[in-house]
Amino acid sequence: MSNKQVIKVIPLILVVLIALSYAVYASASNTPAVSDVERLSAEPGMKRMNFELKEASHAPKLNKQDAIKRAKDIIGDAFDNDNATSVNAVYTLFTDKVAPDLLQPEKNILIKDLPVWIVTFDGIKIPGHGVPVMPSEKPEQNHINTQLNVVVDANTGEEIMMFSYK
Amino acid sequence: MVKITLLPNVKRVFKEKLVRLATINMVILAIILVGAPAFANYFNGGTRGYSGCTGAAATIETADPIVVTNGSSSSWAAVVGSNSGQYVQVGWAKDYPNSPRFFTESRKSLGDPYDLKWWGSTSAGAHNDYMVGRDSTTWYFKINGNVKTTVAVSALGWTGQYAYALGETWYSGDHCPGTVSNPVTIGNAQYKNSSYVWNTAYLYPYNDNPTNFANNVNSNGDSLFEIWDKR
Repeated sequence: MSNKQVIKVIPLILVVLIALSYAVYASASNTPAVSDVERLSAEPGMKRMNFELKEASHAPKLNKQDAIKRAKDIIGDAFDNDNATSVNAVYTLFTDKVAPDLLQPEKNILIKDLPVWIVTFDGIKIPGHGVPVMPSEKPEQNHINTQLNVVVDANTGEEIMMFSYK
Repeated sequence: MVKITLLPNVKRVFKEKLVRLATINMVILAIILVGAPAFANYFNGGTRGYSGCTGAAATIETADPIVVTNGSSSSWAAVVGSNSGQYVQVGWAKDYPNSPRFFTESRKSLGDPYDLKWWGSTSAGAHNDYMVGRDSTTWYFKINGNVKTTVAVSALGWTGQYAYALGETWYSGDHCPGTVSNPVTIGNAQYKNSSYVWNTAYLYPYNDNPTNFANNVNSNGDSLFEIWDKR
């Protein structure tokens, strides 16, 4: 390729580069911020447990601070939660896709788009129940999860369930 | 060469402080070792190997045993794979500080976290049917015939080798479900074979804390037995 030909191609390359840069910029600036509900909903453990979360449109009767306090009351001083590295709460509509009407039959609570606070304690110690170690195995070290989720009814403060997946 | 020597008085004071510091450290270490019991699961009940096992079930009585701070006492049915990191289980647990409640738990392999769910409540003396079994695609966790949760077979990825129906504790101070005068009954033990057919499970006795725990599981295999704490 001669020098003249190269000079002719340069503007074309510049135009293409500018167009690509604009496309990347436009794409990035149009990406909506990920909400807490979306972030929590996307966790693999939530999917494994067949939970579905949606954004809630109505304000809860229980505020975030009260929900966290309620969750702390529920677990008391268990799981070394005084040393939790963080405690957060997400307000969401909560569905158990497998057993929405059977988890709490005695309370007649339908766990389908139920407004709840999911209060998450990180950095705590939750041993699994597990099963006996096989004769050929050494006892496993650090057989613990470090995150606990306490699901609190956002209107009544009632405990719905607790779960842990990591 | 310049030789630096400490005054005898400074040496003595330094030595005394060193000894004092070492003594304090040893006392603190002793307090930690004595005051913090080591976590160690103990189990009591029945187990048996069933190659290709696809389910385990039992009717288990709820108890309200003594548990220490952060301790647990529970009883459940489980299918276990080729190592102790592969299991699915369903039953009741009194996990400190709560009263007995239902739980399900599953795990893919050693080193992985486990999926653990607690909810509801069950009173001492109640007899509930716990069943965990699979078809070609899904593990189903049932209590009293109702599916409470599921997990995809592909998410766990192992093949069942054992059926367990056990009581369990977390710390030596936790009491096994059942007492001498009021043992916990585990009955109607079943396993599901590799063709997805339920059969009576004749479990063999298992007790890794004979000092404190006891059971009356027949050594030839049993589907109805009792477990208790001797303390």
